[in-house]
Amino acid sequence: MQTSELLAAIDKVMLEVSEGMSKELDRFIASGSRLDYKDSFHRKKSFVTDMFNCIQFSPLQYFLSKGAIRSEKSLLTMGSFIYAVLLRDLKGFNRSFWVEDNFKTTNPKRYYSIMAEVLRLIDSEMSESECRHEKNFLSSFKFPIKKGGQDYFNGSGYLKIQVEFPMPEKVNVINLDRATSNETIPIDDFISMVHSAQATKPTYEVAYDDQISLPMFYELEEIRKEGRKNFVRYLEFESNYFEVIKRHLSSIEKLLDSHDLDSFQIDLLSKAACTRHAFHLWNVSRLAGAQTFIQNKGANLDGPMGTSALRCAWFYQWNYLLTLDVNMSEELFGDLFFHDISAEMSGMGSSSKYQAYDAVYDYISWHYKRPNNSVKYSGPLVTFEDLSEDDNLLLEDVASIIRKCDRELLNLLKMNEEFLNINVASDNLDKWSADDFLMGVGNQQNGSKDTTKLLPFFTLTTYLKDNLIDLYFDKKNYDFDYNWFIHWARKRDFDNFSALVWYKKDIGNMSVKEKIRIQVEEAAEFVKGEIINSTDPFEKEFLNSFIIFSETRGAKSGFD
Amino acid sequence: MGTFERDYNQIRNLAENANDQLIKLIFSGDSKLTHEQTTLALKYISKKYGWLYMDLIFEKFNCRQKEFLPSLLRLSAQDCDFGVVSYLLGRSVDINTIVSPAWNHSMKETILDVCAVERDDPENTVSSIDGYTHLISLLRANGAKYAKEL
Repeated sequence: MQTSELLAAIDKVMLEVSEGMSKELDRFIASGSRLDYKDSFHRKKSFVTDMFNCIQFSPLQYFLSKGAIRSEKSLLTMGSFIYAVLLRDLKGFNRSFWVEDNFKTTNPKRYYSIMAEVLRLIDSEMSESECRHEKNFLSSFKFPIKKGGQDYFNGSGYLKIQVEFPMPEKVNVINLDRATSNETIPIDDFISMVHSAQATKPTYEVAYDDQISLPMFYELEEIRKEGRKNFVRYLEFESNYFEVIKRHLSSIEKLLDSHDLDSFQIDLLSKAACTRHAFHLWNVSRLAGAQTFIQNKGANLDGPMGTSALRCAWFYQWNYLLTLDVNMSEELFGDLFFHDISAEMSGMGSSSKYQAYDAVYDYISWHYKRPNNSVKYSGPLVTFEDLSEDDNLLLEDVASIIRKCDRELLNLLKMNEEFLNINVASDNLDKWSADDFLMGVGNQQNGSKDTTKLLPFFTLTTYLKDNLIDLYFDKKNYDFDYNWFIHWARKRDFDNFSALVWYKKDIGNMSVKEKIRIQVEEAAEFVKGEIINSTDPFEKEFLNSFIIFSETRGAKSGFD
Repeated sequence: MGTFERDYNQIRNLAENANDQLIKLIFSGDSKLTHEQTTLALKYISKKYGWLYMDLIFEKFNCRQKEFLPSLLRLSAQDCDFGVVSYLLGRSVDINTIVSPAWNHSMKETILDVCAVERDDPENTVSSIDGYTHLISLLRANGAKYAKEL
């Protein structure tokens, strides 16, 4: 064979593959092919894995041929992104961020530049009509630089202190009465100091490695009003509570460390732990009376999942109050909301092993099915049968740890019952209007309502949420960024969305509130467009609820 | 079989068929290619269609990569094709080949510059960077100069 013939033959083969693959891939993309989700989550995973294994001759080549990315590391990362997009699997899109954890950590600049290139390629290859949603999503995706700054915010007379896990052994205490005084003391000593007569005015700012990290959340006016006695009791209660939770988290962390877990398993276990705590906090807060209150206000709460926008907005409000965020499913929430709370709790007390998984099951189910009678269910339903034996064993371990933790916490709560009852007077809620509930935390923190008695629970939920999310993210080597906020909003994943709203951390010089406000506005604009185009009633309802959410707690309130 | 599976399998089959054809074209006895032609074909594919196809050929089908890597490297170095040179260096080409008297200075200098880039790329592993550093010292000892020194 002559060399010219050889090269021509190569070109012929490559032309065929290029044309054929382009055609197939275009069709693949245009058709919105995805797994029939009568299949399990695991089955989908296996497909994605399979595609990874075939990466050398997969559609990735089609994209690679358009670019000049040479690194094998880039290849993996890029491939995971592309497949996630092809599969319409935006959850997978997220997971692909974790594919190259080490790479991202060691060379974030390079990592993000590659991601940008991936999106550019995908964007250039997708026609507007075919992939409007993906293009909107991708074009919105901005890549972050490593965040810096302080992890707290200061506003409306509050000094909020983010809790760090593990807690610091020593803290740097600045007595505001003596601004020049600055000393580092063990945290236990600090607690003792508050107890002692030395602390005539509990006006402390506590710093640790440039980050506020003492497990406290106190409001100065409240302290002045209620006096030091309550404050000390509050600290005492919290300290004990934190100790229990800290031990619990350590146990969970050790469990995670002791297994070679894949991302699905970590996800599962983390959420199992978080969800159970959310459930527990429901009991703690004793807000059941609020259900009647809201119903009396005329909210339409009929039906297993409810249909009113008010009810959706309520979901978010309760989400915050109870820290349900990433881990509380709509179904579980519905169970709590619409059924007798005490019956639910007694059921939890005598649970079989499956009952320990309830929260996990609900969480997963919520993510994949559309529980609306008017819409035929077409999503996947992950059952316990779908979980592997390993998954189940791990869940049992988690359940065991949680049960042990629960016993400790309940004992602790019982000991503090009087204190808690004082602080969570349900009649306080009667003073709230429906608007107050919708405005939620904004009003509370602005001090327009006397909701300070709920402070301990905000503190606890803040602590739990932040630490559990930290644990969850840390295990994935997940560098949290606010771009995820808008990401979740755009994919209408409101439980994650809601979690991120409250997982506030400052970025650079821009204030958290401003950053979130902008992102909510952007997300709201996006969602409005989606509502117009959507023909799915459930989706419309869901999106409408976001608009309400953004207008009440986003753009207008600035998340104060 | 669901839509996803059908589409997925079609794409995979299409790619596999194409790859089979390439392998058959280049490595089967029917084509009666010389060593030089095979090398040229590989280089042609890598340059025009991307190095991923080289991986496909070398790794998936476990072809005679050691036999062709030095030749490919030489051709790529002659053309100052940094991309392919970089890729081939990353595939553990025998460095003794590169510093042998058979390689002219121009080719060595190309390799040297590529090595310098790779050595300074923090994305590379420590062992890989050490390898490039070693190769640079060998090339320098054999008289190679960086482009900026020429």
